[in-house]
Amino acid sequence: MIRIYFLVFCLMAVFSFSCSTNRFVEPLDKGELEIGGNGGGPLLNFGGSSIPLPLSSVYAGYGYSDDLTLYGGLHITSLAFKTLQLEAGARKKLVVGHSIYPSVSGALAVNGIVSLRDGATRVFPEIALNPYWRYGRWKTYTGLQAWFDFYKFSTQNYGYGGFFVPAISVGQTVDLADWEIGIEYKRLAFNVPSENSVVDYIVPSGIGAHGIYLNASRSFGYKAKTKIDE
Amino acid sequence: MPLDLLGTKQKRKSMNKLLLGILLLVSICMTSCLDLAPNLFNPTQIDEYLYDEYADSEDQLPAEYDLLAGELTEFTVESELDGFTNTIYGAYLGDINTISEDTVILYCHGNSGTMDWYFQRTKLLYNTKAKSHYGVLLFDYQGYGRSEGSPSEAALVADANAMVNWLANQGLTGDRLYVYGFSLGSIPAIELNVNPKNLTPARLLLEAPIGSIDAMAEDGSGLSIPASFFADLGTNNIELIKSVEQPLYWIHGIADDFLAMNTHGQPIFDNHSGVFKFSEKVPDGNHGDTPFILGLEPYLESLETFLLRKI
Repeated sequence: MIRIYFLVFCLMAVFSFSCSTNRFVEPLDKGELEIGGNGGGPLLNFGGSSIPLPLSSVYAGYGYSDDLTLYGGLHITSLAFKTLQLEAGARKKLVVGHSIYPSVSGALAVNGIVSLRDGATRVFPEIALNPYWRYGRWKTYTGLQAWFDFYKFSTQNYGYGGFFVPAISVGQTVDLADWEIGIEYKRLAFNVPSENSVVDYIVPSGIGAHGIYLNASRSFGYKAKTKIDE
Repeated sequence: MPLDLLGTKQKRKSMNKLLLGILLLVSICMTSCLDLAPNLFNPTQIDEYLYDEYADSEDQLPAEYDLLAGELTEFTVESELDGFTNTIYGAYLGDINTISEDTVILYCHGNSGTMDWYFQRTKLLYNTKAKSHYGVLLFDYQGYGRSEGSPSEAALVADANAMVNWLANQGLTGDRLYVYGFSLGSIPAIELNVNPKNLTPARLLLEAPIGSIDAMAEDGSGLSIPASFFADLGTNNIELIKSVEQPLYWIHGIADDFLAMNTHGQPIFDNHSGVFKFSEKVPDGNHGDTPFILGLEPYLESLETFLLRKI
């Protein structure tokens, strides 16, 4: 019965684990600026209840052109625990959808993490591919995302660790004037066993984790309004 | 970002407010000194020890393991750390008057529960080889049970050393001191063997030990993130065990879903290069139930195989 409750302790163990929503699935219009924040994370059992880890981040993006958005983010929860996590990336529209066929965008990003305790550093590249459908104020999207970890695990000699941590996602957003709010579900790390983890993830298969995230952002460009009106 | 792209004055004001809010949030976070290290520990406070009367124990032993009258002594010692002194509680199974002749197992318990929870386990050790054969000392770390103070990695070791001092004062010598560490208890148990302050233990026994905080982080994230990303914790038994020369006994449940055998116990066992080591991997054993899944008699036989081996 000695199930030791390290749960709060382990919150930070999932900091860098695909812990935010897909950024700017639909690229911004040229000159458009958007600032937002999101919260949520992998679902785990906490005192008998299912809760998402309360991870949070803020981010901003700028429409460099009509199909290319540059963005950056700062992870707030980790910062409160003396770990600086920054992300920077670019999102490009790859396919323009029509009818039932979705538009598709792709992103390349890098996540840099620095411990403010001892300066330990990790840099994880990230790629994402997101089909999405826009209908009026609503947008539905899916996604395939992957982090790459080229560092050696302390337990690498025991068959643990890998350089590829994938996630698939589905999300829904709605535009409210200059604001966009959304919810996203992620199936995290479906190639990584999590059954024997210190974190009590709620995942019946014992592989990876399920994640739930909420997102809100505000647009500060001219064209955000016209996009809604189309 | 050219301001003319931001639209009206009202929008600029709105953005400034939003940025101000974000900056405020970030500033608060930057000045925070939150640390998850205290959350490593899960202390339970109580007013009274119940031992065999403790109702929540899942592992009550048969009557043949019962202690005789006078074979259980509760006592306190003073544990010093960084200039502060705290009273911590211990329970000795055996005859205090014969410690100068007996072999004693110092039991460093896990993170959950108090001495009450581990009492049945120490009764098993007490009856290893023969009825009432070994003396066993069980104690509560700072913040656990009735012990004063707050737990920390350093406090675990200070408390264990305080207990070793107490045993030394009763006449124990290092060649008759064995240290058993379960889970969290592996931290002070290994430290006592590597950096003894008073007596140098003769043998080390580990049950489902913590490998390292790094290994815990990696297990939990699937990424190679170091422990310093989330806490001021330095436990690295996988490295520290390399300095242990004493014989090692290691038991771990293959189905341990908390401290996985492959990433915690196995590296510790492999890195031990002392004179002798013995492993017991228990199929279907989970974290905390391994001795009972293995079975009482097989567990005791396993311990005897190790403890009675001539080195």
